[in-house]
Amino acid sequence: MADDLIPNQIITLVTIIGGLLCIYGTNISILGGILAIVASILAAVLGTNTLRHVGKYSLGTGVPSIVYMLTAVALVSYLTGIVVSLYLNQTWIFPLISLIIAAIISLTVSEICKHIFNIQIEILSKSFISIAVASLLLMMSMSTLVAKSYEPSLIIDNVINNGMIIFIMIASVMVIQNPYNACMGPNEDQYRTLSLSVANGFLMLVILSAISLLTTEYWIYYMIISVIGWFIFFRKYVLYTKHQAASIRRYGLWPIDDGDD
Amino acid sequence: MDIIYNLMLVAFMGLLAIIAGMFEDLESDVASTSNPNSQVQLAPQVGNLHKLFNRAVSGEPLLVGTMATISGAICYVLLTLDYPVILVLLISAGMATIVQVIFSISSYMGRITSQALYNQPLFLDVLHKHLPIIAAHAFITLFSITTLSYIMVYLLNPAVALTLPVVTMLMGLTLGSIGSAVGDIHYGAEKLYQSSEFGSGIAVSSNGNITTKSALGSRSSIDVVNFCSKFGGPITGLCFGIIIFLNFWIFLVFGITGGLIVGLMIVLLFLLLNIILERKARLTYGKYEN
Amino acid sequence: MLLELLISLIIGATLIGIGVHFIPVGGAPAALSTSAGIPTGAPMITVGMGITGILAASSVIGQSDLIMVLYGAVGSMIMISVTMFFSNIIHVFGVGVPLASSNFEKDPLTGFNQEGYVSPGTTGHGIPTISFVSGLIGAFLGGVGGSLAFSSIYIVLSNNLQYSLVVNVTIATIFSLLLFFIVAVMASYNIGGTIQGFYDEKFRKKILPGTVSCFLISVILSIIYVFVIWGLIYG
Repeated sequence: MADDLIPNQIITLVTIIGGLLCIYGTNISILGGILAIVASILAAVLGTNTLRHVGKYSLGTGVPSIVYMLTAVALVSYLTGIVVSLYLNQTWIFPLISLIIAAIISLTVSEICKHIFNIQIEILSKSFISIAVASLLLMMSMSTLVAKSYEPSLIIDNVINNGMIIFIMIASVMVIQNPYNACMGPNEDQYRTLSLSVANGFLMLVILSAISLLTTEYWIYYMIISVIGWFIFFRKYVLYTKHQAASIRRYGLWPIDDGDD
Repeated sequence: MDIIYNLMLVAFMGLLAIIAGMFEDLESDVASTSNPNSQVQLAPQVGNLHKLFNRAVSGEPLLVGTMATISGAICYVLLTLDYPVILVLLISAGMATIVQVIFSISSYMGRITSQALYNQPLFLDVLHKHLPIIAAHAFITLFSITTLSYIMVYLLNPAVALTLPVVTMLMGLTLGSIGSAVGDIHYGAEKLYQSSEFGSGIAVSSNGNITTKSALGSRSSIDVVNFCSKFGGPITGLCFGIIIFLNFWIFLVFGITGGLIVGLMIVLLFLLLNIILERKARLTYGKYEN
Repeated sequence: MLLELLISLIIGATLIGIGVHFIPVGGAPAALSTSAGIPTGAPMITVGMGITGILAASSVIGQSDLIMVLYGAVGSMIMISVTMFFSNIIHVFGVGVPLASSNFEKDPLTGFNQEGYVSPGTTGHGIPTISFVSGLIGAFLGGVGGSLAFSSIYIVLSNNLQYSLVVNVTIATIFSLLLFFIVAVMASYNIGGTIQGFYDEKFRKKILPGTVSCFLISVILSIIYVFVIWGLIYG
């Protein structure tokens, strides 16, 4: 794996602060959805970039399992956050408290892995926490796009009760784990993987904006933005691929000897 | 009258499940999705360059689960808007197929490019040749799963008390885990290693030594799906169909407590069949020689 | 009522975790007949099995607790037995190998010797009878655990909330599915690769830390679940 050009700390910092601010801004009528799109892209980048580091170690079962376990953890804390903020009657507390609970549960999980299963990986706790936080932010921003607000009661009505949360959950698992799983190998490169991550995020947002036509009248704008974003980043991904592949052939066989023709 | 209506629906669900299972497994063969893909992945590393499709979107259950959920979610939205059912099923399966094809493209490019160290070229003709076939298989799978879930949620009486996206996700995950547990053996242990002797497992030392050439020129994954459609795919479909059929059939016919007893008896029957199968295989094949 | 829910959630989640250890899992090597067991990862076959159980339990909704739990167990057992049987059919007729594993010398149920039937360079292929039985036990435990969690959440919700039947069942299903996702992955981290059921040497080493860790994580998750459900009811 090549050296990282963007350090993980900067991505983490930008995502957590920027993502939370965007989620708090989703109450604004048309701009809210765009902010939700920005937050989900940031979260996708954070999740994939963390997975690139922890995915190198073998944990006994495949790479996706890390992500769907931690996304399940994030969903549990998401529901807890909703309940807490409903109980305290404070809407603004919901994103923040879910974030904290997600960090606590994933820390516990990683401590169990360390001490009972004897998995000796130094960055385990840090990575688990940031993947859980990333998938939490991703799910939260996707739900706010559908519910038009981060208000818990609206989210319960529009996202949870009709089972749409299960789509949001599995889409966020896919967005976070797919880029690394698809680009795994000795020549994995940060720019290429992250551009695929952003492209996948936009692809899922296209579907999500189609779903949000039940609740918001601006869905067509969100869809156009997502399609354009997907196109730009997928094109970037293909360009990186063209630069980095050993060779590109339109027909014929593989090279017989070491010749780089 | 009600029970006959339900029984017909359950039989139809079993049929749809057979189709879904069969084409899901064949899709995973033509796109080389699940566990056997580790060998396609390993091959360039041990010096076997190839022209097989190499896709690692995720494990098979997660992939099928995601695509089925996308299809189910779109279907739910369109049904809420009162569009005609057949049109809705077609549109939702079609959209999910498009997503799956896009994932296939990016995953093929990603894995091959990350193997640049071993000189594995990125073949554009592999991409062009395989994508329509992947799309066709994926569409049939997703359409069958969505229709199956639609029947469970809206037509069965009493219906499954879940919303459509949840049911499609449950069905997709189950189908994916069955497809990777049953059909992939035929692809991984037999077709990928066709040049090694029939009738033995693949030794660890020969891992990565996959067959890369066919009768004329290079082997493509379309040859693989041609081979697997004769045994691995249909068996997977039968497996999924039997599971769906039995799960609903036992309590429709035998009532609540009768269903439990019959269910247990069916489990014991399969245990017995397995013992017979094991005994027969040992008697026929004998000990491993040489 | 909430205390009952807490206890049944803890028992359910722990049973899921123990059940995972019983299922003979071969991972990727099993798909090449290089190792015995079900050729897929432990978490996913558990999730698939648990889902069938939950679906079976939800199709008899409205009956008593016991019936729902038993239906879940039977649904999971049917799923796993059919899957293992068809997996073996492909091994025998498609690949042409007898079912054997080198993790034990003799199958205690059928009395078949394993040595000599395992092709050299591999650790077995297919699912021999004892692993099959172990898989059934695992499916029983996992099915009971999943449907216990499902039915207890559903009953509490339906007694206290004004939502419709579909919403209650959907919420209960999502909750129990999340339990499967978390606990099954934890258990498979403990297994770390392949295992051939309770007759395997590895099982004896792994079951104790597995049970402890699954119990710990189930306590934490159950407390959070009870808190969330309490909040949904009284919040």
